[in-house]
Amino acid sequence: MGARLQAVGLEKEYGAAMAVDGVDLDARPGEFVSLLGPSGCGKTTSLRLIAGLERPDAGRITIDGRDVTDVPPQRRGLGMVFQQYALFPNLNAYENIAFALRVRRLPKAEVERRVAELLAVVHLEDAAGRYPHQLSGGMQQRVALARALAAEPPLLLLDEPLSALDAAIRDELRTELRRLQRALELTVIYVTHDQAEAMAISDRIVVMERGKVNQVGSPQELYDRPATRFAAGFIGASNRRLTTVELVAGHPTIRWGDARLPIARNGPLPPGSTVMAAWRPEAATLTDAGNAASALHGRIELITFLGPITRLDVRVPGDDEPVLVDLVSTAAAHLQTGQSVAVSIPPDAIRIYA
Amino acid sequence: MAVLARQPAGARRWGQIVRAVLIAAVVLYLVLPLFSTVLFSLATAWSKTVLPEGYTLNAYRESFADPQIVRGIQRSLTATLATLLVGLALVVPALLYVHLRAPHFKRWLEFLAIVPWALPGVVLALAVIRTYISPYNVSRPAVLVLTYTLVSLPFMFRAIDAALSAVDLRTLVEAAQTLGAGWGEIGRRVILPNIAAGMLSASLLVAALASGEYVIARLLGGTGWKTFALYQAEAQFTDGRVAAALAVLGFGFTWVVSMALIAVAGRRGQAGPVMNK
Repeated sequence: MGARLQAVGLEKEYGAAMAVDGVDLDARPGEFVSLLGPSGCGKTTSLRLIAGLERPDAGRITIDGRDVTDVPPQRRGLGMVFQQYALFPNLNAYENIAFALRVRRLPKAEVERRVAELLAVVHLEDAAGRYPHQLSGGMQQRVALARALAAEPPLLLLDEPLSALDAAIRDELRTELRRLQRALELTVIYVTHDQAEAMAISDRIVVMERGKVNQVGSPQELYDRPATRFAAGFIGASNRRLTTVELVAGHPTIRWGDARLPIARNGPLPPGSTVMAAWRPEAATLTDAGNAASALHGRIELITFLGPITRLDVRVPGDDEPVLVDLVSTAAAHLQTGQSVAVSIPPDAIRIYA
Repeated sequence: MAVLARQPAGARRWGQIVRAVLIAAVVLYLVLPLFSTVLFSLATAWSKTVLPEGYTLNAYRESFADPQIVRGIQRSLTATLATLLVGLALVVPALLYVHLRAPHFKRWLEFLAIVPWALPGVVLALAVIRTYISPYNVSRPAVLVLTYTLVSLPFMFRAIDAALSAVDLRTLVEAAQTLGAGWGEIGRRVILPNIAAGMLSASLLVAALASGEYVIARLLGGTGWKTFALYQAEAQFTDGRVAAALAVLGFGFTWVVSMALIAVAGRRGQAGPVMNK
């Protein structure tokens, strides 16, 4: 069973820059938590603080209630997988996996049993005798994963483990990692800059920006209700514009190009205030051009077939860039480039950020 | 290939002949003196004939029978070994520190390591005598070893630095830490095995340098602590054949060291790049 990880008020300064600035984390036992953000947002530093590879300037870290802030990494009992695998080049796959067990001076039979088990878990039974340079990137990362799991850590830390791999292997390993995490009920902290990867694999995502936690939520929550401009821009595709709120017949609207779109009335939105409006491409529908006064009227500039969905780039008068509209491909089959369309967006699908 | 294919067969053959002649000339130039020295060290008499009149191992026997020369060999080996130990003890920890904790210091280390090499041996030896021997009467062999260490720093530094740079040592150490290894285990299981080849090449280079060095040994060791190279030079004035035998022995030692170095470097080359960057 995985451990509970709690971090409170973590801070780490490099020179004049705050790499981590007051980060709180709480991962429940068996939970898969991703730290997501662009490079330099402090996600890797946070992970290194948890691992004990860096010392925080402020804040505390506890694992199952035990304060480990001042415990050196070798005594935290965690597993860690690095972006560049970090396999020991002088040891073959078997010995790499056995490393943690040998350090703990386990009996030979126990080491053999455990390594054989782990080689089977990562499907590398035939590669036990091969050295890191004789293994592909994907195989090296499997060995690194098995090595990190050898001592049965209650908490597994992964620092962009898939980013150096080809797309196909990345998907395969991601699925395997998730399956393994579920089976072992491991608590996992996973660092990535790839929002699609974080969405696919996590129970919860911690979005980070400039050393701070921006938003925490399930993939679904983050996708449906990004709480900040940053989260709205970072997660999934969206149409975003800086615009102003105007009251039309008592109802709040926003200007979008030359058109006005009604928005839901949630929270105080003083007329005239500048806001960022965002909506997902799949939230829009095409309506009959005649009876849609509040829709965006425009011309299809580009049709991109993406398999199950088809993406339209629609040029709207007065708007600087085309809006994106995702339709189920069967519903978009009859559309043609240059065609005039009316794009209707439900008011409650438009999110407004002050 | 296409260009070669268009060349007429005659031109191609000419090219091959010119190449063969050039290579043969270079080999002759390099090998002939050595071959002559070996022959001379084995000759009974060699004055009126193209090849020696007879062959004997007397010069070698005499060399090994002379207790002074044997002592010279012992001293050279002692100085070499001591230089290696001091050099490794200085360079390995310094480079580990720089690679693991302070990469920005590497430029300074590189600069410092090259300084002694930029100074002519005579200048270096006189400076060391003035600083340590004249005022404080520090033991000459000790100063000789320390000077050899200084001179061999660039070799030590480069070879071990190359080994350290070939692996991402910092991440490897961190990986070992997260796997529960303390510093003792990390040194034994991670650091040493990964820089052993570098340490070995450094040691072989330094051994080749220190074992046959003359200028510094002459100025620092002087008559009180003569090394092999000094006896070798002296022998030229007493018995040419013994001098030739000693030269062959010195060359043999350097050759063995060089071959060992090539073998080690070759094996390391086969192991290949170990981290996918």
